[in-house]
Parts: sequence; C-alpha cells; structure tokens
Amino acid sequence: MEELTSTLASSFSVSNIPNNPAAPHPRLAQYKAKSHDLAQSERRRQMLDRQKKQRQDVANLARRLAENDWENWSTEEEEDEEEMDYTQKRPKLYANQLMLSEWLVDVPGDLEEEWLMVACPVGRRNLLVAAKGTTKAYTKGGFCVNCFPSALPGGRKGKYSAKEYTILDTIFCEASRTFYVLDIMCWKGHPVYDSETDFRFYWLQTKLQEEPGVAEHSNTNPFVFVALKNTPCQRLSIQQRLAETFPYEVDGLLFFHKRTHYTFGSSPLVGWLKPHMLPDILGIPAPTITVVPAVETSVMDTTHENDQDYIDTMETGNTATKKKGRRRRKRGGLEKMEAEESTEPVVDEK
Amino acid sequence: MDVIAQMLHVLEKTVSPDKNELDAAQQFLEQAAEKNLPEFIVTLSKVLADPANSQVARMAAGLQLKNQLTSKDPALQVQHQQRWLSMDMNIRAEIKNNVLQTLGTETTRPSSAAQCVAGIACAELPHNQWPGIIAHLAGNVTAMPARTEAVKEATLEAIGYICQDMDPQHLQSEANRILTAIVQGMRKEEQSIPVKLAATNALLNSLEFTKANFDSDSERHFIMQVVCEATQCEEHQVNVKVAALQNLVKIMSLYYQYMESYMGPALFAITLEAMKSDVDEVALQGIEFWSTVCDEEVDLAIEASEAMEQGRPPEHTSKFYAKGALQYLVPILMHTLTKQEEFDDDDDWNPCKAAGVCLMLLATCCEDDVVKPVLPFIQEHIKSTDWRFRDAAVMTFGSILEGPDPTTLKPMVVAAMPMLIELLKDPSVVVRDTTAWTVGRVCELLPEAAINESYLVLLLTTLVEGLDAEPRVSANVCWAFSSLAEAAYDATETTEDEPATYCLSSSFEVIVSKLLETTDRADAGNSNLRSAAYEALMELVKNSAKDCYVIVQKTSLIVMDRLQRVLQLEAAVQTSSDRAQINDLQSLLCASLQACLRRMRPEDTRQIADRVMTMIIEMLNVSKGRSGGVQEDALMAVGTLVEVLGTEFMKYMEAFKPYLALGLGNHAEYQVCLAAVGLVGDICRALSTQVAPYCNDIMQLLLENLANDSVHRSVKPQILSVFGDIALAIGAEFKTYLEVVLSTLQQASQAQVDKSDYDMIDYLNELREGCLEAYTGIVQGLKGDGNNITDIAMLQPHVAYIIKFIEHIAKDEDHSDSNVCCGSGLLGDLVTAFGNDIIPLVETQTIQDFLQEGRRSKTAKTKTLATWATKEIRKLKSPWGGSTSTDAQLCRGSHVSPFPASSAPNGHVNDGESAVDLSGSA
Repeated sequence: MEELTSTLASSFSVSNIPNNPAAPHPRLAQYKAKSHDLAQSERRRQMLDRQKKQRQDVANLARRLAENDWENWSTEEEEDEEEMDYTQKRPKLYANQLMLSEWLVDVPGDLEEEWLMVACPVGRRNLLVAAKGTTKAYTKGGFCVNCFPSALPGGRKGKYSAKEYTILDTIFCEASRTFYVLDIMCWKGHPVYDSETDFRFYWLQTKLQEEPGVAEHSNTNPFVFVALKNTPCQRLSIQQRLAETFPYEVDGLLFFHKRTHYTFGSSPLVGWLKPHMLPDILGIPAPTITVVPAVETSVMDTTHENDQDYIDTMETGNTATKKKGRRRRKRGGLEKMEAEESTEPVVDEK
Repeated sequence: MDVIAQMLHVLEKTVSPDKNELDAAQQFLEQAAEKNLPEFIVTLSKVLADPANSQVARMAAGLQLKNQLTSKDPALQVQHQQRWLSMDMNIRAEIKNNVLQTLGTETTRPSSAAQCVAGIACAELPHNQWPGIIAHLAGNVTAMPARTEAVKEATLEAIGYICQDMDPQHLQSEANRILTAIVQGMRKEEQSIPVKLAATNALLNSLEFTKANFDSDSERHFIMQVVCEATQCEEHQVNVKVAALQNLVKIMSLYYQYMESYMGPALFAITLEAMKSDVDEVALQGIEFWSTVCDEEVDLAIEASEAMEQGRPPEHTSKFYAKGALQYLVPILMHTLTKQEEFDDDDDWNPCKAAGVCLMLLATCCEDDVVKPVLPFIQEHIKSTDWRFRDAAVMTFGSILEGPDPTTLKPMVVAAMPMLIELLKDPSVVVRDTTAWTVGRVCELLPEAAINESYLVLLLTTLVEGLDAEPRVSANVCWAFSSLAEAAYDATETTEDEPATYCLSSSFEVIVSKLLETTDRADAGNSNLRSAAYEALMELVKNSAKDCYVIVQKTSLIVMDRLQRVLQLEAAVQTSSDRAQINDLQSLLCASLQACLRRMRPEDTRQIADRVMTMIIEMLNVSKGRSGGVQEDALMAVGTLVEVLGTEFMKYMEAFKPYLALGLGNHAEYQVCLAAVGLVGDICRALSTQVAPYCNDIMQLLLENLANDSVHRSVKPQILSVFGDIALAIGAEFKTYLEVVLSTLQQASQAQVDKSDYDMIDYLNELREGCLEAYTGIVQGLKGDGNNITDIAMLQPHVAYIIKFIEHIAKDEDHSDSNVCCGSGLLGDLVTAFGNDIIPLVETQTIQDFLQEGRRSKTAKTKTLATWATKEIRKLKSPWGGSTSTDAQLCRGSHVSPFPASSAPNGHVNDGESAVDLSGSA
C-alpha cells in the first residue's frame, strides 16, 4: 500500500494539470505486461542463485561423506549428480512411498495376539508399480531403477485397462530374480492403504496366488513375484517358522501390528529385529536358519533368441550381472505351463 | 530604490530570447546571491510583493526566491534550508511578510508566492519557527467576511504545497486547521472554481496525515460528503471533478476499511458514471478507482491466507467490492476497450489501456467469477467487421487468462485457439499486436493448452510468419516462443536428464533460424525486438530436447561468429548511441553464448573452448575502462565455461588472471566486481586445490575491496561467501589467511542496521549469511578428511565466538529461513569437527530453538540440514558416543529402515550394499 500511496503522490501533483504528462503513468508497465525471464537483471539473479546452490551442494557433499548415512540424502544426491543445468525438472512422485520399520526395542505387551512376523530376505527394497502396460521398480528415494513387463495386473501391455494398476512393497533378490512381496498397497486398481495389515496380508497371499503367470519366469514375466509368508507371534510359532528351510538368505524379521494401515515413512507399528537378537529381546533361543537357495537351471534351448530380449529390458538402469537362461519355479497351485516350457528338472522348495 | 529597479530589469531579461542577455542576467543573479544572500532574497521578495511590477518580473522573482529555498536534490535541499535558518531573524520576518502579502495579488497561475510560502514553511516548521503560519493561511480561507477569491485560491495552493512537501509528522498537530480550511474551500457553496480546485488538490496532499480525522466517524462523514459533492459539479468544472475523483482513489487505498458506508450509497454510482464519461481524464479516474480496489482486495486475500496458515484471524478483511460490482464494471470496461487511439504512442496513457489493466486486475481479484460476464462479448465481437471490436474482444480474452482456475479456462482456450491463430494474420496491426500478446499469455499461463496437438503445427507456422510483422507484433511473438519453449519442455515426462524429443523438435530448426533472422532486422531496435528475439532464442536452447542438439551446436557457432564481428565493429564505433547499441548487442550475444554452452555436451564444449576464451579475452580487452556492462557479461560467460570445463579450465588461468584481477579491482562499477567475485567462487569449485597459486593475489584484491567503503554494499556478502569457497578449495593452505579473514568476519558479523528499513534487514541477512558460508568453508576446508588435527585445531579458539554469532542470528526475529539453513549446517560441521568439547556450547536453549525452527521449516534443505545437525549432536551425547556407535544408537528408535547402512550391527556384510540405491552408482 505504501508503494501505491507514493505512486499516487507522485502522479497527482498539486497543479492544475490532473495527469502530469511528464512522467509515464505508473500503471503503464502493467499494460500488456510480459514476463521477462532472461532480462539482464534476471540473468544476474539466476547466476547468483546458481552459485549459491553449487556452494551448498559442495558443502552438503562433504557432510555426507563423514556421515555415511545414505538414506536421508538419496534425493539430494540425485540432485547433485544431475547436470548443473538449471532446467532440471523431475517430480519425485515415487519418493517416500514405503512403510519403514523401527528397531523393536520395546516389546509390545500384545505381541502374541496383535502382531504378525515376516522373515525378510537379503535384497533391495523396491516399490513396484505396475500400470499402463509396464512395471517399474523404484527405490525409496523415488528413482526408477527398472522397467519391464510383468504378469501383475496393469504390468503388461494390452492385458488390462488403464485403471487396473498394482502397487506392491517388495524386496528384490538379484540372484533369483525374484521380487519377494512384503506388502500390498493396490491391486488391480483397488487401493488398500487404509486396510489393516491382517487384511492386506490375506489379500496379498490370495491375489498373488490367483494371478496367473506371476510365479514363473517367462518372456512376458521376466521376474517372479512371491508373497512372503507371515506367521503369528507366539513363541512356538516363531520358533517353528524359523526352523523351516528358506529359499533365501534371511536378513531379519519384521513385526507388523495387525491393525496398522499402510503409512509412509517409519512407523512404530512395524518393528525390526535381527535373528540373533531374539534371545535378548524376546527370550526366544537363537535360531539356526537353513537356507536352500533355488538352484539355477540350465538354459532352455528353444528360447535363445528371446533371452537377449528380456536381458535387454532388464539392463535398463540395472547393473545386475548378466545371466543366461532362465529358471522356473513351481509355487503352490500356480502351475501354468507356458508354450516354451521344456522338460528341465525343477527344484522343489518348501 | 535603485536596487529594486536594477533587479526588475535583470529579472525581465531572464526570459529574453537573446542568449547574451539571458546569460548576463543569470550571471548577475548568481553574483548578487553570492555577494549578499539575505539582501538578495529581500529584494526579490519586494519585487514579488509589489503589484505594480510586471507579471514577468514578479514570476521571475518568485522563481529565484523559491530556488534559494528548495532543490530537487534532497541533500542540496537540506543545505538550502539550513542556510535559510541561519539568516537573521528580522530579515526573514521581512521576507515572510512580503511573501504572505503577495498571496492573492498575482495575475498568473500557479502562484509563485504560494511556492515560496511553502518553501519557507518547510524549512521553519520542523524547527518550531513560524508557528502561526498555518493558522494565518487557514484564516485567509475561513475568514468572515470572506477574503477575495484570489487570496483564497493562492492560500489554498500554498497549503497544498506544504502538505505535499512537508514530512507528515510535523503537520499532525495542525491537521484540524488545515482540514477545516480545505473543506471550506471545497464545499458546494463555494462559487469560485479556481478556489475549489486549489482546495481539492490540497486535500489530496493532506490525506496521509489526516488519519485521526478519518478515524472519527462524524468528521469522516463530512469529508466524504464534501468530496462526493465535488465530483458532481457541472461541465465547466471538470478539473474539480477530476481532482475530487483523484481524492476518492487515494482515500480508497488509504482508508479501505472505512468505505463500507459510502460504497453503496455514493461511491459505486459516482465511479461508474465517471467510467462512462466522454472526458478522458474523468474516465481514467473512474477506472483507476476500481483498479485500486482490486489491488487492495488482492492484498487482503494474501493476508487472509497467510493468517489462516498461521492459525490466527487476519488484521483486515476484504469486503469484496470488486466481486459485487463485477457485473456492472465489466460491460463498461469492455466498451472502453473499443476506444483505441488510432496512432498510439507507447508512452501514452488513455482510458483504453487503463481498461485493459483494470480487467486484468479484476481477473486476478475475482478469479472464476470474471469469466461469465466476459464470454458473450468475446463471442459476439471476435469476428466483428470493425477492427476496434475485434481488438477489444481479443484484449478481453487475454486479460482474463490469469486469475480464474486454469482447469476452467483450458477448454475455452483450446476452443478459441484456432480463431486466435487466424487473427495473428488480421489486417489490422493493432489486432495482430494484441493477438500476439494474448497468444504469449496463453503459452505462459496455460502451457498445456498452447501445445495442444490439434493446432500446434499451425500455431508454430503462423508464429514463425508473425516474426516478419511490425516490431511491436514481432516482439510479442518472440515472447510467445519463449513461453512455448518452456511449456513444451515441461510437458515431456521423462526420467532421464533430457527428453529424447518433444513437440517442438520438428520445427526447432525453422524457429531458431527465423529468430536469428529477426535479430538482424534493421528495425530490431524498435519495441525491444532484438532483445526479445535473443531471449526467445535463449529459452529455446535452454529448453531443447536431445534431437535438437545439432541445431544447438550450430547456433553456438553462429553466435560466436556474430560476437566476433561485433568485436571488430567495436573498434570503429564513434557515437555514444552507436556504442550503446553495440554494447547491448554484445550483452545479448554473450548471454546467448552462455545458454548454448550450458546445453552442449562437455566433449563438444571442449572443442570450442579455446575459441570462446580467446574471444572473451578480446572482449575484456576492448571494453577495458569503458563499458562495464560488457565486462560483466564477459565474466559471466567465463563463469559458464568454468562450470562446464571443470578442472580443464586450468589451462586458461594464466592468460585470464589479469582480467580477473581487473574485474575484482573495479570498485567503481560494482556489477563487474560482483561478477568477478562470483567467478572466483566458480573457479574454486572447478579447480579445487589447483587454484592455490593464484590465491595470494585474489585474497589481496578481495580484502582491499572489503576495506574500501566506496564499494557498493552488495559486494560484501559475496566476498565473504567466496572466502568460504577458497578455504574449501585449498584446504590446509588457507591457514595463511586465517587470522585476517577471521578478524574480517568478526567485524562483519557485528554489523547493525536500521531495522525500520526492509531493504536494510534483507541486506543484514545477506551479510550474515556470507559470514556463515565463510565459516562453513573454513571449517570444512581445515577439517579435510579428518587426518590433520592440527589444522582444524587452529580454529578452536574461535569456535565459541562463532556459536555466539549463530545465537545472535537466532535471537534476531528478522532472520531468514536461509540463515537458519546455513546456520544449522555450520553447527553440524562444528560438532563433527570438534566433537564433545563443544557440546556444552550448543546445548543452549537458543541453539536448540534455532534447530527446532529449522526442523520445522517448510524448505526441504533447511529441514534436512537442521535434522542432520540435531542428529550429529545427539550422536555425540549418547553414552556410546562417536559416529561409530551401532546397536545402541540405532536401538534408540531413530528413524532407520530395515536396511541400515554401514553402521549395521555385526557388520553384516551385505547390509550396506543392499541399502544403497542403484541411483547412487551413476
């Protein structure tokens, strides 16, 4: 308002001439106004801003080296490595979409009644989004690391409509090219963020079982999707579960409160323990975990020319080592024989 | 009497057509003033006061007198006033008397005596001298039986000048008297028009300090009544009407909160009628009234949303007058848009332009509501046979594109675009100009609508043709291209650095070459066409997809060729206007070059780097000591090269360093200096330790700059920041400069400013930030990778001071979010460098509050740094201490995912790796 007052004061001089023609009218600049992003003053300002940003980036880089905690900085790190090009535009739509745990230091009183345990494999945590005919894997920070077709609803061209998309919380095991599914957020266009954990886990098991093709490697499904088993948290149940054979190396144990919805970021309703901590924290004897990894079967002859195709699709952003051939798995009732199947021996897992 | 006669003679010669006589007269007057100022002024006042003297002489006397008392230069004005006050009291009394007596006796307008009275009053009143003057003047106006018309008019003029020129605080005590006199002169019973006019103008100037009167209901009612009545005078009183309307506009902006009781009964009708007037000046005021209402209500809307965010009620609320009047205002405004001037000078202001601005403001203020009233008009007239109506329709359309919800507008715009594209080729240049502007607005405000597939190709073709049109049209087309480029680029959804292609790819080459052609037009100096064309070029380059790369490369070569040619021309330039044009051109070419360099692949840039550097050095040579603008642009271009080349820039350092030194030493032209300082930072980041041999000279120049008071203050914060850059680059070698820099920082950190000035508050924050960045660079630089404990130990004695400085900033309620960001980062750095020793220093309430503010900041960077700093402090405080803590630290329930990094318990080998995102390995 001060500006307007002074503008008025300057334009209305005490004379008999109402509008002083000597000075250009203050509102003239507003007539057919155009923004000028690249006028000299703007360029100066942009230069200063850019220098300031670079200075800060360098400082932050130095801090990260000492700290060595990559999690919080994944977004910033990506910004650093992008070119110093001030036209960068990359929406981080998929950042921070995962529910993360906290160490289970305070054992909840209702552990046995209200919690479920999942034994997690060693691997990379990925957010999986199958939509509009393609399946993409994202890191916690929202960076897309892989893009491929899959048998998940929405994950393959032509099969499903645009509305039928699927979002899963997974752990990717490179060795077995398997996405172990930890949790489900959306299936065929139905979101379940606001459903309780025990419902989501039930749905996860059922839906994944019902969906044809997800459990087998094929041209149109280069990675396999396996739901992780969950068990109740009675002492005996835990012990029994850990006595079973695992097809993967167990990284740790996640404890989910049955009633929690799927929330983003770390949640006190999801606890994490390493197996060796069980005696101290839960008073359960330390388990000896048997791991029988699925053995790689030999290459299937009839599909050589197709190997290169999906190896190529897998290469995008993926620094995994190249593998020739494929493996097939049998899972529960999921045995859909594909046309290219041959009579290779298949390893059975429990 | 001889003296008088002589003076009369001389004064009359001051308007002589004969130059010699004129000069002689001037000389005489100057000498007389020098010889004996008081006597001089007394004589002048006598000449002025005597009605027997000629008009010319009296006016000249008045002018001379006034010039001894006032000046446009504020510093000189103060001098004049002090000089007056030092004159003998009796002499001053005589002069004052003469001048006062003159009021009402002059035959010319405006009254010279009035100006003199005001000049004296402005000198004396602030020092409580001449306390009776206001009463005297007021008496002239209100006396019964009435003084003459002439006296009243001249007196009111004097009052007006006093109100205009005097600092309001000195007039507050006299407000009532002044107002009474003014209102007396304004009331409808006053027959004399000149008196009324003088009174109305005086009111305009008194509005700021009569706040107390406006606060009182009854007084305010009375004032408003008088003003409103004054707007209703008849034909021959149109000047009074305009002045009264001006008052309403100003009252609206100063006293919005009080207008409710007048808006309905009076103001609405008065202003609407004014808007419809055939008299331009009247219509302008009516329109200005509503533009002012919009300005006020937009501000109030901002205040309301800020208040809501902070969870408190706003101080003032909007009464939504604009929304209420919208349906009545819009038809009138649109009609006024059809009153275009046939031959419009860019600088002229007229009701047509005012209506355009008002519509724009209404759109911002009333948002979606503005759409419905305007649509019928647009639809009816966009195809009119009368160019005025076509232009008005397009102008209306263009004016409402900002304000309403874009999702509401988009379908309308998409439907209208084909029509607009046609109108770009309209026979009337006015229509083409307005259409080009409107298309530019669409590109800027509704980018998705602009790049709609169904007409994009046609739009691009027509726009390219439009570049050949008149400069005023072509300039708007250039602006449209600028916005289009950005819109097209933003529309690509890509996860890679650059999209492979975009909707402009197929036309890219054509557009670029046409723009280059446009910059070469002979008439490109008009309507800022050349700048607009280069700016459009830069935006296109900046927002280009991968498949346009070859063109970008070609363009950079063309730009370089042109720069080369311009440099050759420079030598031959004679006139200063030519020089100005050449400099502008160099500036634009340099900026274009920068845009190209940024876009090119490093390997390609390397190939032309030699040539670019040679050219820049030549540019710096040629403009040495002459054009600061060119020097600045050249240095900025070097900055871009440094960024792109990184360490490879080293090979140019020897050749370049004298020019860097020149830039740093350019105290007079601070923009050049600033560019040079910033460049030092860029060089440090690029060359890192290799910059060490050059640091002595650089540091010396920087320190000289700081010590020099005549250097513009904006350079100082940047120099401080750059100290940090240097420290980080050369690490331990910075020890040499440590003491002197620290003492400089100490001084700078203690700076204080006048807190009532917003600009100074901003400056203080910048200065402090410079200090913080300097300290950060020093701490990080000396700490290095943690192996040299002795180096960082040198800083130990100063740590307490630095933290005190941060507390000082924390306690200042005007500190910026950026300050919090830098301060938090610095705290974290200090803590990681000095460990437990300094924990007590950072555990103060002030620091804790400061970090909390940071953690709660809405800015991601600030939040992150404050959180990090807090974590670092917490780590040190845990019983297990140090950054190597494992289970214990993590078991404290801090936010850790199932896959912690290298601090995982049992050194689980794969954990760290499994947590690393693939993105990090790029």
